[in-house]
Amino acid sequence: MTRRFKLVGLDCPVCASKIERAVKAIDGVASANVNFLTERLTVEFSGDLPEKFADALKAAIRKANPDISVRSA
Amino acid sequence: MIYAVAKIIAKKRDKIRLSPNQRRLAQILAGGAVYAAAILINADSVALKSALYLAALAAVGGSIIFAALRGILRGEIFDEHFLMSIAAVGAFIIGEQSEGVAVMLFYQIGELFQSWAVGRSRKSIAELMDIRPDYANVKRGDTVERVDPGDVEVGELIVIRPGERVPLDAEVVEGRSMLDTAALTGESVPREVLPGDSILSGSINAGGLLVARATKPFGESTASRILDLVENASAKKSRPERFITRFARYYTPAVVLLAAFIATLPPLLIPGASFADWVYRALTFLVISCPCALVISVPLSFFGGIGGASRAGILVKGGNYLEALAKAETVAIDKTGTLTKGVFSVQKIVPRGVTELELLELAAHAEIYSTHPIAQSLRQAYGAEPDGARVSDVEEVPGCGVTAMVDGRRIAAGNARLMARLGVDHDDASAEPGTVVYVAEGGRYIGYIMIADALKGDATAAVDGLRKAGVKNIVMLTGDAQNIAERVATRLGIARVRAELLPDQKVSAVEELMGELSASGRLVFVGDGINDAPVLARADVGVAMGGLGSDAAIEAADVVIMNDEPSKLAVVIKIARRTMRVAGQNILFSLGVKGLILLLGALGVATMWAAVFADVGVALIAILNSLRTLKRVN
Repeated sequence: MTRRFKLVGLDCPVCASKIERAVKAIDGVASANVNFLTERLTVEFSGDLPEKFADALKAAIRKANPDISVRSA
Repeated sequence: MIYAVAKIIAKKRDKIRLSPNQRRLAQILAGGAVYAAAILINADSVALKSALYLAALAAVGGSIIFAALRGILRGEIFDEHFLMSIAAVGAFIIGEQSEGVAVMLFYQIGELFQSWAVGRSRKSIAELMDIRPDYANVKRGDTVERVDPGDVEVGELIVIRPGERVPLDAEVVEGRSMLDTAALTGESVPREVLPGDSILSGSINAGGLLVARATKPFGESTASRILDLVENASAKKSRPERFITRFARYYTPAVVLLAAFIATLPPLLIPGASFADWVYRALTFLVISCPCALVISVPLSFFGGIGGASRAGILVKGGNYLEALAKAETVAIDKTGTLTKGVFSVQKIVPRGVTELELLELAAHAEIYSTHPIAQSLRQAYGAEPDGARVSDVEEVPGCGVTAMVDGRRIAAGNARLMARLGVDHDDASAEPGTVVYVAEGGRYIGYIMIADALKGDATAAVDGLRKAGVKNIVMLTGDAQNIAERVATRLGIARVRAELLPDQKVSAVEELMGELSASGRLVFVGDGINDAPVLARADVGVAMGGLGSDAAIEAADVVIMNDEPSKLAVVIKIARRTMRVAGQNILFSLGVKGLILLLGALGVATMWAAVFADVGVALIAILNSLRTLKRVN
């Protein structure tokens, strides 16, 4: 299962790879890919959507850069 | 004190609604003005000068310092804000106030330009991807509603007005119009559509009103699928991209560590070395510790390449495929459906003593009941339904042809064996690149008709283009007979032919060719995407033609040429080569300049502001350079 998100305010490419790594580390995530140019985060899950994934995602992004907010796309 | 200023700036930031770039510009202007004042003012009062420098630093870099403090709270010590802040504040502490402000000033200017350049690239990319339909007009009952295309169900009727984008893949029910598919295929000639024709989402109605029945949900329609592919292409990274990602992770800590050594070791080990001097050199390191130029410009080059290709009607599913295409050494091309149209048709009529039309008419009538593809193309070329009342005594001669009475004339139509059997002298047309039907009336030879799978208009250009692009080996693969395949190959200037291949033998043919490659060479296979999925998968790069509307082809291939022009292959190889070249330039240039600054900085030759200036300049040039990959290829 795959979900896509929009990262609003993604200005720095280093943050993009930081977010990518942080999201990959969330339980139940098989792969995560941030496209810096389209400000798009694509997350692939190994099974169903993990419980409380939205919170874990927000926390991961806040840690990388608090100026970035996430929206579903 | 600094923290307090940062707090005030942060608070203000929420009150005044400025875009991040406007805010940055305001900081640069304000900081720059105070900075100029600090430099120009007569240095009677050192305290006043220091106060002005501090004010300039706060104005231009306050927000950076604030962000750095926030970063520390999150445990992010290698954050670029933090490193810039240390450099600027450190400069102040060792008494280089002017340098400290200059560092922040140039850094902010660099960030502004970088953000502008990234914004510009994002805009060009957004324009490229401007095929997403925003709404659909659905006919529900007697009314037409404007809804989100995702809400339309398969089978519903949609209305597409002139100038509107087709929202979902559909089949025309009513109306006729011209469709502009340029955004999908890169082709600017509009296509006529009539009731019964299928239309693809993303194309634009350039003519009259159309009513169509949705055949696919929005998510599976062509426009959505293309966008998905292009957006996800960044997941499949090329080697330069992977290198940069890995490099960026280690570069900053390494430079910071070096800076720490430079600040501490020489003053301790070298007698007479000044602490302030070596700290200054260390701060120069910190100033260029951000790998941003590389981290943006390399993926941007590849994204630009993929975007540029999609504008030309070619979908590339990842940077890794661009990399492989750039190394294309052998191109294996399937004949039928790729170089040829895949449809048999009458190519040549050579009458002897009758008119062309008469010859065709007689042959088509003689073959009236035959279901053979040759007979079908004869009837098609004739243009009208043969009249059964004019034909009698039809007799099939197995493996040879047919004889029949047409308008009371005894007609024989078939191959050379049939002519020999009837004892008719005839032209020797065995050199023709197709199947030849000889026709005789009574015992008299009246000419021949050549039927072949027609070459596509750009087949010759396609092969020439590949050779000009530097592809060493061009090999034609086909299931056709050796002699026909060879004749087609000769006409196109292809030296190597593997003919009479069954579908599974194509895989082993491709494997053999891959065995001949040099270590860095890659093999590209081009097919029409029908029945050749295993070959597409086996080749280094599998390219499918005519992907528009063919889900199987889009699924199986690494690269999809949306229309059916084989000449697009040379275009994508050129785009790939240019992309690799630009990415390579960016890596070399950025790393080279950074290395040079590090060296000069360590030697104490480069000043801090010169280091920032050079670093920012490199970043900008690299970004602008990568935008070149978006340009068209001739």
